[in-house]
Amino acid sequence: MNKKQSGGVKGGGNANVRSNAADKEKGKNASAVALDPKQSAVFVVKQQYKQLAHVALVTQASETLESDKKVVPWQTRRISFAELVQCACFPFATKSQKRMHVIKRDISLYTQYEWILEKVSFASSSEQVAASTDSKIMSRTTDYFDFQIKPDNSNTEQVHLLLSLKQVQENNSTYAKGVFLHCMLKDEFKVLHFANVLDGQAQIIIEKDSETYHLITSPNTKLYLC
Amino acid sequence: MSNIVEYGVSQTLQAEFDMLRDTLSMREYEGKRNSELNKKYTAKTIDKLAQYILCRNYGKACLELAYLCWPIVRHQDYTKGLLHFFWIEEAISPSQFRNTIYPLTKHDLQTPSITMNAMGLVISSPTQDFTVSASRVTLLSALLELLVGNIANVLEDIEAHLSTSDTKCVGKLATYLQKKLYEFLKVHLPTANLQQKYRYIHHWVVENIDKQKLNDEAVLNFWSSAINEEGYVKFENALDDIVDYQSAYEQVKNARGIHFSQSDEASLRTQSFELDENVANWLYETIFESNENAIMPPTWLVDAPKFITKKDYACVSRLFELGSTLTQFPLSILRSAVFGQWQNLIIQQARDKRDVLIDRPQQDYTSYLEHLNDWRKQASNTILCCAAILYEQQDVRCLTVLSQGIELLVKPQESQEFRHMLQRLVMTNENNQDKSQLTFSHINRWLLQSKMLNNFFLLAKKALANNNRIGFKHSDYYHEADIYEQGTDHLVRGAQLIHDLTQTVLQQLANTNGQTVSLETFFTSDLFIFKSELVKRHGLEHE
Repeated sequence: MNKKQSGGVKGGGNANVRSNAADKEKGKNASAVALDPKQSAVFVVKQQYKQLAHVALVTQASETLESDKKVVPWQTRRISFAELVQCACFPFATKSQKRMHVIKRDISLYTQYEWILEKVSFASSSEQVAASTDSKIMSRTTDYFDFQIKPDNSNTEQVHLLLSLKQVQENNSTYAKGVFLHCMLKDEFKVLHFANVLDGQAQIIIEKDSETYHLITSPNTKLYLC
Repeated sequence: MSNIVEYGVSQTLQAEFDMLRDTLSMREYEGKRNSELNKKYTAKTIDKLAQYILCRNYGKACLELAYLCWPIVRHQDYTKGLLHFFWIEEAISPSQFRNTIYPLTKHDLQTPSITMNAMGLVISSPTQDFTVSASRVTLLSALLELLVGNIANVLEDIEAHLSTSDTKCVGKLATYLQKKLYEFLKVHLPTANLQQKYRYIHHWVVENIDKQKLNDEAVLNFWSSAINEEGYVKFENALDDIVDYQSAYEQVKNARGIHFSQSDEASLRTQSFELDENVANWLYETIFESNENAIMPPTWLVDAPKFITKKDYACVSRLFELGSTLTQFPLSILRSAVFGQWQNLIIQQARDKRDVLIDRPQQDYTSYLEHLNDWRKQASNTILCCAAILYEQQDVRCLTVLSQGIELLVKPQESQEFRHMLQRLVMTNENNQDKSQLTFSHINRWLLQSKMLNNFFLLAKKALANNNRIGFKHSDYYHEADIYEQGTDHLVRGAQLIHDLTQTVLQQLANTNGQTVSLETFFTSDLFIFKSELVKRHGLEHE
């Protein structure tokens, strides 16, 4: 990298040519000197440690002159496993909402995320058999819950989503934060929040002309309840 | 610069470690937050993980992790599994770990059966007992986090290994994790460049230095001679590497003997994953356990509580890194601070294609030493703040911390008076009472007796009131008392290092060719040397 630096200013070019010849000469001589493998190993680890440990970070951050270390924006930074878990558990947190967009686009993150959802969810419903790809699924039944989509009689633009949990937990605090319904369809996914669960029953209203409606009625959508 | 970051550690691995450091705790989402972000791991934990990884000394940690996972996977009815334990419940701090595990010990669980003792979790199989220390769980969790992020399906693999009835499943899992980790690291720790660097310095030292004792002159000569060597355009790189070379030499000399061959060094990275555990362990002990201060500078001083700003830390970071060896290279430290900074500016300007200034550096040696002296004063102010916080927390250590701050703040005469006053108070205490231990009520009584002590505490309180940094600003967010005491110790050490540096520089100048050279003259002479080197290196023309 230093050659690049000197190349950036006048007169660097010739020096590089000279240095290559000199390197070869030095290489020959250096191999003749007996090396201590222990010292070499210690030297290498010490140098690596400076980079990996906090030491390097603090000094680099503070040297404004050397501040060309790339600051990786979070959009392009890899999302950690811990962050995926946090997304699954707190899907409405601002951080999670931002990360969802990245997860959708990355197949390996998506797979990991789905694996986490399987683990953290207390019930799920896989893809459904449908008459045709266009057909809509208006209800699902599993061992743990029933899910129905019913038209709103007073407003044709809206539908009611009715969730009925079959195995009501004795401990009411289980649903203190409500129930999150994760709907996953390829690179689309949405999370619906049933904020109030009473005796295992909950409902929300959504617009019929919405992405959510499309997702929730598609036979290929997988549902996870957390 | 980005190339330097990659030198010996890939950018991927660097990013993985940055990510581990930045990982937030689940508590951050649960709304249980104060003014600071809740990080899942402390910097110290991740530093420790880096040490294990770099020395390939992760065999034992993999075994501990495998044992820890065993009851969690086997008794899922009670534990809810790995994901829940390490991520959702985050039962990784010693106290949370104990709280989570304790209820399990009440069930009569078999294969493995578990109990708790003072150290941690005892996991018993029909053949043997294994203890996972509660204080190690955070580190093991960080190791698992690194594995999960980089080895596909590792959680499923762990579950699969441990779900079998094979009595050796834990051992097999540990070997499997070690192997996977080895394969991952092989790509991300390229050492060829660093070995080449070591070989180059070693060769130069053997050729040019009579004894294996390096000094300022050697650093300067090395830098001048390495003009065409990759990595040594900058003076500060030459200094850093010579210091690392020297300390590698010293550490190996002082380390316990071990058979260590050239092939061991190579197998650290490339040949086989079956690295001799002795070798890995030796490397770890030699580098990281022999001299903890030198290898682990107190960078946490800039975190929370924020004892000093990053900028202020940067100006003494090299002093902390060198520690007691700084007296061996005092002039090089000056050169690096003054001319190194100048060189960085030149490089930056050249890169930005701006007109390059090569007149003279922004500061000279006198102003640099004055700057360090200001650092001491600021440090003393912060120490007074620590004393005031300890006083508010009714901690008896406030008195020691106060006197440490005062030692740095006032003139020697006043500081001596303060010490005498304290001695008198302590003696009265010993005479009057049954030599009982110093308690906080003594301090309160002395505040009434001594106007001087009272004034200094008022000064400390005033300093605290003006301090708006994290951990000093609001009494609701003060940290545990211990950290203020530890911070003070390191600030005092920083001040001592500055004192040692200044003294050694003056001594060296007094000994130059039998006559005393002034700091200004010395600077002018160095300016000449550096200007000519920088002209050569950066192709600049004389004005």
